[in-house]
Amino acid sequence: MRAPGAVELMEEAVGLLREAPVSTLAVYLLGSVPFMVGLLFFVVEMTHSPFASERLAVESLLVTLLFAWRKVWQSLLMHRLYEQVSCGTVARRSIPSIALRQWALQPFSLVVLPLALLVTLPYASCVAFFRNASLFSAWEKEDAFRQARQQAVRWNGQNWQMLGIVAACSVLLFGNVLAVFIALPKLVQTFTGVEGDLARIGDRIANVTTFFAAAVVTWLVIDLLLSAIYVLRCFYGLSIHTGADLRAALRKATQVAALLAMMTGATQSRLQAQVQETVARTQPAPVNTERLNASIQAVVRRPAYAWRAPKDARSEPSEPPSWLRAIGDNVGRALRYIGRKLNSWLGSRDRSPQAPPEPAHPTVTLWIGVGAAALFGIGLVQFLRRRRSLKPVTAATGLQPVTAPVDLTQASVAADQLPEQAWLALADQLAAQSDYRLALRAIHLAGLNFLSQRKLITIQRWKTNSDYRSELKRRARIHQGSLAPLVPLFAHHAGLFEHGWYGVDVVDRVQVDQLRLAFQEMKSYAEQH
Amino acid sequence: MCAQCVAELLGTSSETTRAPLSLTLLAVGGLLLVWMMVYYLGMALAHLPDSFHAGGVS
Repeated sequence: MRAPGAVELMEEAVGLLREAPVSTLAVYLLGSVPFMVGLLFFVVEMTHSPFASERLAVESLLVTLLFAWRKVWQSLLMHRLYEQVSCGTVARRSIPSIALRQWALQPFSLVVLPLALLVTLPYASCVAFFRNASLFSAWEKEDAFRQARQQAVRWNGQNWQMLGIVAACSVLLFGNVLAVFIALPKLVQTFTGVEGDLARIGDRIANVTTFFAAAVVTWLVIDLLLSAIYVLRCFYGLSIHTGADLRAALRKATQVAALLAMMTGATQSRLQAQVQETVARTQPAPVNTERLNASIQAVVRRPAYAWRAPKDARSEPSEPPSWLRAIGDNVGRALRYIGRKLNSWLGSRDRSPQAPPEPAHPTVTLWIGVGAAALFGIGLVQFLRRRRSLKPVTAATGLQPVTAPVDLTQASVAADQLPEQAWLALADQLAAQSDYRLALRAIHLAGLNFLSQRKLITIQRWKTNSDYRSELKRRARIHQGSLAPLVPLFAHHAGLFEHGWYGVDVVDRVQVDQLRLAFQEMKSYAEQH
Repeated sequence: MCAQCVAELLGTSSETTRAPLSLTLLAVGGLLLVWMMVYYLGMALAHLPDSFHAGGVS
């Protein structure tokens, strides 16, 4: 038997995976995803956690158990793929038996494969051996290790070619996945305006964790492909002696023939039905004279034909009907038209030849009338709403004295709880009481309130100064850069506040005055532009 | 019928009982090997200096 080519084998493997039922892919994901995610968390924990040494033993044991879990499911996956390609069933061992065989052999691949890669020559056969063993571990009547060895040394050149192509594909796939991981947060921010955590860290997203996550996703794809490829290699290798490939081809051919037969039968019956329907349609139906005349009248009245008819030949009375009567006629026609449409939508349209003639479509004048009435109604509603919303102007009674309505020591205080002037008055009051730290916060909240009133930021309790700065930057960009200098002014303002509020030094009068000055600068610039 | 014939009929020959035992030992040894390798991998990662991660790899 001629060995299938490497590219041919890979194409067939891709086809096998595309035809695989969802349950087969679920078997793969159930085994591989927990292991890959566990490994990813393990690497992140070990590289970043200050408690890595304490957790090392337990977490490495968990990764080992996930490895064992994955190997069992890998064997089940390859067994299912083999059954799919051979169009038959193969007796399977029990799960504990499969697990025992997999755990007895697969751990040593972690040692043997790097050594084989170092020596280079036996590498392809070693990869094939461990993959084949995963398949044969699930077979009930096979010596897994002997069969895996026999199939591994077969078609060595093809095996090397295939591994080379897969390695090149892996590099390309890794590059693509990494590019997606790095670009996706920025793309989401560009298209939706949502600045997530990943978008906020900017270029630092290209870190070791991202690289490792991209490698994990790449391996999830490549591992599945390799499993399918080695299942096919074993299938063709065993078929040399068993002829299983011929039997599978025969089964497929039988299935296709049965399908064709079914389709042919269905086509014939459909053709017969169509002929009967056509014959029934072409049967002469009794003509209703009244309906025919009404239809002719309706057609010749259409603008498309009416303009050609001589004025004298028209059957309308010389005097046009009154406006009210015309409106009534049109409304009646429109109602009949709507009723007819409703009937047709509800499937109760009377198609009998005895049905009364259908009225013509509503005229353009009717639609203009309906539109005008709708516009009038909308205008009236708007007028009434506006009139209701207008309130009598009352004279300003001056600024009410502020008597500390909010507790500035609470973190939940938001800038929109008081107007800007009230915050400033509160700041003055607190400064007079020598409570400079709270005065600092009141001025800062006044600044936020001012920017909010100017529609430059939106006050939210959960937002930080960094969030407000980013938001301000975005809004400034929308204003075509005229407000761009406002961003550093706000950053200066926020920086003064944060230095005093979060710093360890005692806040004094000078800092309060500085923040007040920064607030005035920011405000005067925003008002000028 | 002798004891050996009964054992053959029941499929409990000494060869078949030895195989699961060796497999079990191999499986336990294999998993311990994986644990050891993952442990040393984690130890190597934990000993990487912070500067390796601080600025990213770019």
